[in-house]
Amino acid sequence: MPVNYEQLQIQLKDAGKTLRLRHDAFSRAADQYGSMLRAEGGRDDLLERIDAVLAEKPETRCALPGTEAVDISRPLPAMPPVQIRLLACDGSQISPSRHDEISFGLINTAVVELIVHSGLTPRIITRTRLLPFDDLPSESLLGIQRDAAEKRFLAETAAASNRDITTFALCDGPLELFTDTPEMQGQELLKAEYLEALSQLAENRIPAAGYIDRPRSDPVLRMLELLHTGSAKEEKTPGTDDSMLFSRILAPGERSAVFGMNSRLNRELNADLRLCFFYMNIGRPGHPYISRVELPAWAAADSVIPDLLHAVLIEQCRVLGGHPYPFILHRAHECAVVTFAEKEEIKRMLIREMTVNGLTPPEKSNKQIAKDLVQVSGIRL
Amino acid sequence: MEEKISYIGRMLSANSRECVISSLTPQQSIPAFGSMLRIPTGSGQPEIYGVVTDITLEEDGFLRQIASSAGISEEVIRDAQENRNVPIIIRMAFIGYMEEDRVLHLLPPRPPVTLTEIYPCTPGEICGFTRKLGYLRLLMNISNLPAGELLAIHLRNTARAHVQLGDNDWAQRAVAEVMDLYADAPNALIAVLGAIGDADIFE
Repeated sequence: MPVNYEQLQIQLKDAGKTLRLRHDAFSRAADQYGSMLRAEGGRDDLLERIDAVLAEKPETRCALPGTEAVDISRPLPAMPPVQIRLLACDGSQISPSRHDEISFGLINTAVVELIVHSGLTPRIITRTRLLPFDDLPSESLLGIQRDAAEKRFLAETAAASNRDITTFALCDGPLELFTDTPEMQGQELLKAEYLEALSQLAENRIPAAGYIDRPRSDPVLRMLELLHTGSAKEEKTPGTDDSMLFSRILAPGERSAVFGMNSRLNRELNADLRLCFFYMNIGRPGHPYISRVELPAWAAADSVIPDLLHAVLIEQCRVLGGHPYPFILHRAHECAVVTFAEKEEIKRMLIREMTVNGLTPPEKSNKQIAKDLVQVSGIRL
Repeated sequence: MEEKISYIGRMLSANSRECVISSLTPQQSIPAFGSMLRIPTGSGQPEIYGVVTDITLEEDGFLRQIASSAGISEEVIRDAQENRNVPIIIRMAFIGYMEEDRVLHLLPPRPPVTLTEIYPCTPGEICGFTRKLGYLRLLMNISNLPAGELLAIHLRNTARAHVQLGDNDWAQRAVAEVMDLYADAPNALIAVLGAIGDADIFE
């Protein structure tokens, strides 16, 4: 049955009006948060006040002020004319499906190494792992396993790199491993591997950085609410986020102050590894576009690393012109992604191995066969 | 003993006159315009020979985005040129085939099978196929491209292969054959000879 456009038409009209109202409400809220941020900018008792509120509810997720004024806008630093090694990792997976001829899982990770100002061709390394058949994970656990594999690969590659050049280890998405999810229950080994990767990078003094495109989180707004109300009670305007605030604060190319993060997960980490973050405006005049950059506390506390990371990421974003995003992260994604054709090829290879070992070639589920028939006949793609 | 040559791509589509090949070969090693390729015997078909008549580097949205940004670094350019799998589409016109060790300068009886591997010709294969010159008739009849340019570049490459294998007169015979073929079309002949002159095939 096709979509009922007649019914949808009325709903779309209402949605348009609702979105307008939401936008206006968010704008007003963002203006208020902007005033609050500026008011707190000159004060030096922020940490004490936050600590007092958090004593009531220590696991409240919110930003923490760092050494810079919270309302600061740091201009884009000049890129130093030296070689800088960028390592970027991304991964993709084949999720097991009981409807396929054979249910199998696979994690593919790729690291791209680009040495800025070297004139050298970037190096690409990929790692492909077929998952054990007797322990196939759920889709969400597989995603976490892939995250851990990415960080491990990144840390190993970084450790094997020449230390004469400043190196950054970049990944797409948060550095934080969300261990509060039900899938992570009992996955202590996975968590330990993840932390080991972050520790290995820290020991080698190689800053890890997570790049979050179009972030929707709100730790700075939460921090402002806590400071404003003096209580950990949730009073933030629903639907507002930090991007709305910083798109009003930061000019193109600028970054925010580096903030710490208060969360249960972060508090469990060694102080050096606790995650900090800053926002950047990678947009153009009149069209702000905010991204968030996460980095470990030891790197955030360094006098050079935050500014250098800022310069490196903005330069990487500019490679992609009108739709800025770090070039090297996109290349890592391209190198890691397993296409549908590749999945089908791997499946064929697996089935071949099964037949070699005397097994009957399996078939897709009847449901999948029926779906494929519909697609082939072009009724609905 | 000649070095083992790997295939440069696979055939995507074909008709009786030509085929289209998709290649993922690095851009530095793609076969040149006018160079000879062969499609090996298989599935009951003869070994087909042809020349490259067009090469298209397909773009993708990402490359377009990079190209439009200012100040692209050397590393980014090298990555695009050497690492990215940008599809290269090669058009190959058939100029004959080989059946039971006999060279026939005719269009093949049927097009090759889809996804067949395509190989560049070795100097030995080029000389073996072009010793007689009947295939030039097929080459000059290829439409939708400047015939003079194709003939000139093909003659230069092929003459070098013949010289390499000890036949120094092949280029002269080939030009004489071209003049015969264009005898009824003096204007076209002048254009073709101009291109051949520019190609320095007798050097």
